[in-house]
Amino acid sequence: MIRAEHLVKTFTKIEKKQQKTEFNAVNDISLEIKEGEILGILGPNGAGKTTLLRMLGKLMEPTSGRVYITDREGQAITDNIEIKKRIGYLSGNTKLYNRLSARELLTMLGDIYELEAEAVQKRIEEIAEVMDMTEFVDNRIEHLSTGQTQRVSIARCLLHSPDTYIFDEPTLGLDILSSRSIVEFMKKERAAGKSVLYSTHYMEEAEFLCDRIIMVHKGQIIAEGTPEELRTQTGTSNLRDTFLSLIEHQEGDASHEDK
Amino acid sequence: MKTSKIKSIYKKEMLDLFRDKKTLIMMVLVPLLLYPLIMVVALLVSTAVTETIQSGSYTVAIAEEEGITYDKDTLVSFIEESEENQSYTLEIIECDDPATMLQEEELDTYVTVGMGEEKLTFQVHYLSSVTNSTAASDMLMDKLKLYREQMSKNQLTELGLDAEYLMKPVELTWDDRSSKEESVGSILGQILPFLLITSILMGALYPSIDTTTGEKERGTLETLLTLPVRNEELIMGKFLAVATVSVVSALLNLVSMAFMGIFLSEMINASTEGSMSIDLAGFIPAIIIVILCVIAFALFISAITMCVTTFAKSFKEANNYTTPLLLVVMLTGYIGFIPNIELTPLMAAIPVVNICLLIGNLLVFKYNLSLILIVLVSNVAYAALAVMALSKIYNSEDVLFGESGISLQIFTSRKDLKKGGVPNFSDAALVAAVSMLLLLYAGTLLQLKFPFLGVLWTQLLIIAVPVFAAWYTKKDFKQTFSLKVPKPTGILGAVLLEVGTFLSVTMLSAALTYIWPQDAASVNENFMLMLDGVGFVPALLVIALAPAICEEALFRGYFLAAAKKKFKPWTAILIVAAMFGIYHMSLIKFFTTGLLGIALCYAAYKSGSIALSCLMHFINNAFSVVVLYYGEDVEQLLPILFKEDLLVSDVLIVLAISIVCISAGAFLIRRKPAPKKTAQNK
Repeated sequence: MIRAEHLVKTFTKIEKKQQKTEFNAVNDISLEIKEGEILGILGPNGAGKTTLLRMLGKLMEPTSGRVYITDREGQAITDNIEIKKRIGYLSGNTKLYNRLSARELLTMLGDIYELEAEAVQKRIEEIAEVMDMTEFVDNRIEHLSTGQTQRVSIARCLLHSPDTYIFDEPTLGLDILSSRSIVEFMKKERAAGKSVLYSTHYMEEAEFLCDRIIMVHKGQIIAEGTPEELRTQTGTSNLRDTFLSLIEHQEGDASHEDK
Repeated sequence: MKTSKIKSIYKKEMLDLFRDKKTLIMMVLVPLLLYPLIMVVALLVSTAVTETIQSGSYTVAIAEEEGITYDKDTLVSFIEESEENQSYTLEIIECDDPATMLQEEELDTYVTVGMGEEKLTFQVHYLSSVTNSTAASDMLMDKLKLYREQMSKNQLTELGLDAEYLMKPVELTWDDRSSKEESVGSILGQILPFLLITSILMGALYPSIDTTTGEKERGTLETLLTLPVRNEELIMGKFLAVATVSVVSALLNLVSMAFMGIFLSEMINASTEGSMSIDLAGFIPAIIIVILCVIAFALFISAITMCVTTFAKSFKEANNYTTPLLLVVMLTGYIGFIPNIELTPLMAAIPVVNICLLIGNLLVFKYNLSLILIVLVSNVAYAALAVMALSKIYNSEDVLFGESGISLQIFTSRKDLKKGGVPNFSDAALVAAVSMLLLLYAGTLLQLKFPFLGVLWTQLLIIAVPVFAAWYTKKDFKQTFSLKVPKPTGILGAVLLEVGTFLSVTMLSAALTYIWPQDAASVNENFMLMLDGVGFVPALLVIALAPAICEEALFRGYFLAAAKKKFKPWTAILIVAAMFGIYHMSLIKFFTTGLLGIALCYAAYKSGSIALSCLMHFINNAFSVVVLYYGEDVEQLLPILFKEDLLVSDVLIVLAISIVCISAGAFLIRRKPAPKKTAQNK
C-alpha cells in the first residue's frame, strides 16, 4: 500500500517580465491507495497531476511531506530504491529505447531489478504470450507500430511484478484499440489484488474504471470518493458535470474571499 | 553503489550507442580513413606544387642603367645555362618596360643592373603575391650569386692568390647526433598530442550528447528515472560507456596513425635504400605509456563533456554548449607546438597541457616516472571530481525537468523589466566578462598611451559597466551597490580586519615570491615606471581612491549582490574573491588579491555596507603608495615587512598579530546593534 502525507512541491517560475515567482504545483496533498483498487486522479491540465505522480513514483523529491510504502507485515519502506522496486510507473511521456529490441530492453531491466537471468527470460516469454508480443519481441522498437510500442511499455511495468502501478495519463493520444488494451490491463491487475493509481482527464474513462476518485485543482484535492458519491454530493449525473460544478463552487469561494 | 547495476546501465548504453550508425562512423570510419586521406592528399598536393614550380620555365629580363660596364655575356650565360640537378629554365627576353610587364604578369622577374658607390648593384624585382614570380626571383637570385662568386674568383686569381682557398677558408659541415628515432619522435611529439587530444574529444563528444541530451530529447529519461537505480550508478554506467567509446576511437586513431607512419617509413626506406631505417621497437615503452595517457585523458574529457551536455535540452543546444569547450581544449592542445615548454610538476597537474607535454616528452624518450604519475593521477582525479559534479547536476530536477535556462535581463527590452531587486547571477557573469574584456583591451591601450592617467580611465570604465547594467535592468541601486552608512564599530572593525589581512597577504606574497620570483619583480617594476614623476597626492587619488570606489562597486557591489542571491554566503564570498583575483591577471596576485578579496567581501557582506570594503581597499592600496614615496620612513617604523630573509619566528609573530586583528575586526563588523536600539527604531 502506498501512502503520501502532506505533499508539497514548489517550483520557481520565470514569467514574461523576467520576474521569478514561486508557486506550489502540489499544495498539501495526502492520499493512500488500497490493495485491489483503482484510484483515479482527475483534473484539468496544469492541476498538478503529473507532479503528484512523479513524487509518488520517486522521480521527484517533494519540497515537504513524505511518501512511503507499507509492506505485507505493515512495515514502512521509505528508501527510494526500495519503493521504485515495488512500483510500475508509466506515463504518456515515458518513451522506450528505440535502438533496442523489446527482449533486450526487458533483459536489461531485469538486470536492474536484480532478477535472476533465467527467471527474466521465462518472464519475458510469459509476458510476450499474455501481451500478444511474441511475433515482434525481437524486433527493434523503432520498427514497431504505436500500439505495439504501447504493449512493450506495459510489459516494462509488468516485468518485476510490482504491487502498485502508477499510470500518468496512459491513454493520452492513443486510438481506441490501444487505450482499450491498457484499460483491460488495469482491470486485470486489480482483479489480481494489485493497486493502481491512474491519472487522466478523460472523465468517462475514469467513471467506469475507478473504484475511487480524487479530483485535483490548482494543486489541491477538491473532492474525494467513489464516482457514485461524487455525483450525489454535487447532484450531477456524470463526472464531467461533477467536476465543473466543483470548480465553479471553488472559484466562487475564491472570489468571495477576494472581496 | 552496486557494480551489477552499473554494469547493466553500461551494457545498455553500449548497445544503444553501437546500434547508432553515427557513432560507428565517428568512431571507426573517420579515424581509419581520415589520416591516410590527409596524408595522401597532403603528399600529392605538396609534391605536385613543388614539381611544377621546380621544373617550370620562367621569363626573366635584364634592365641596365645607362653607362654601366660589366661582363654581360657571363651574366647571361649564368642565367640561361642549366647546372646539374636543375630542372627549371630561365629564359631571358628583351623588353623596353619590364616594370609594366611584371605588373601584367607577362614577365616573372627582372633584374636592374646599376652602379652604387664603387660597386655594381643588382636589384631583383618580383611580385610576392604571385607564386611564379617569387619562385623565379629566388632562382634568379641564385644565378646572380654565382655571378658574384665568379667575379670574386676572377679578381683574386688576377692578384695571384689562391681563390679556391680564400673563398672558403673554413670547411663547415653538419652532424646530427640525435638518433633517427629521436628526431622522428620530436616531430611526432609536436603533432601527435594535438591530433590525439582532438580525436579523443571528438570521440567523446557524440556519445556524451547522445547519453545525456539524447536521453532527454527522446523522452527516455523519465523511463530511466522510474528504475530502482541510484544516481551515482546511472552516471557511472553512462560515464564508462562514453569513456569507452572515446578510448576506443582514440586507440583506433593511434593505430591508423601508426599504420600510416609505418607505411611512410617503408616507402622512404625503399626509395633511399635503408639509410632512414627506424627501429620501431624502440617506441614500444613510449607507446604503452601514451596509451595509458590516452585512457586517463579520455576519462577526464568524457566527464567534462558530459557535465556540459547535461544542461542542454536538444542536440542543437548541446552543440552550442560544446563548441567553446572544443575551442578551449584545442587551443590548449597547441601547447605541443610551442618549443621549449618544459614539463614541470606544476605543468603536470594542469589538464590538457600535461598530456600534450608528456606525450611530447615520451616520444623523445624522456621518461620521468614521478611526472608520468602526476599526469596520470591528476587526470583520473579530475575525472573523478567531474563525475561527482555530474551526479550532483543529474540530481537536480531543474536540469532534468525544469524549463529554467540561462536568462539574461540585459538582453531583454527595458520596458519589459520590472523595477527593483538585485541583479541575477547570469547578468553579473556577463558584466564580469565584459569588464574583463574592457580591462584587457581598452585598459591596456589606455595605460600604454597615458601611463598614469590611464589607470584612472580604466577605473572609470570598470565602474561604468555595472552602473549601466544596473540602470538598464532597473535594479535597486541601494541594494545592488550596498549603499548604506556603516556603524562606527563597523568602521573600526574594517580597519582592524584590513590590518590583519594586509599582514597575512604580505606573508603569503613573500612565500609566493619565493616560488615564482620573476612574476613579483615584473609587477614591482611596472608600478615604479608608471608613477615616474607623479606627485604623492595624485598618486594616492589614482592608485588608492579610484580603485577603492570603482573596483568595489563592481566586485563588492554588483557582483556580490548577485552572487549572494544565488549561492550560500561563503560560496558567494569565495566566487567573488576568486573573480577579484583573476581580474588582477598575475599568478601571484591571484592568490594575494584573492585573499584580500575574501576579507573585502566578508566586510561588505556582513555589514551590508560597501563603505567598509571601500575603506579597506583604500587603506590597502594607499599603503603601497606610501611605501613607494616614503619607503625609508616606513621601513624604520615597521622593519619586519621589509626583511629579505624572514625567520620562522618572524612569520609566526606576524601571523599571530594578523589573526588577532582579523578576529577582532570580524567580530566588530559582525556585531549586531544592541536590541534596545532596534526597539527604538521600530
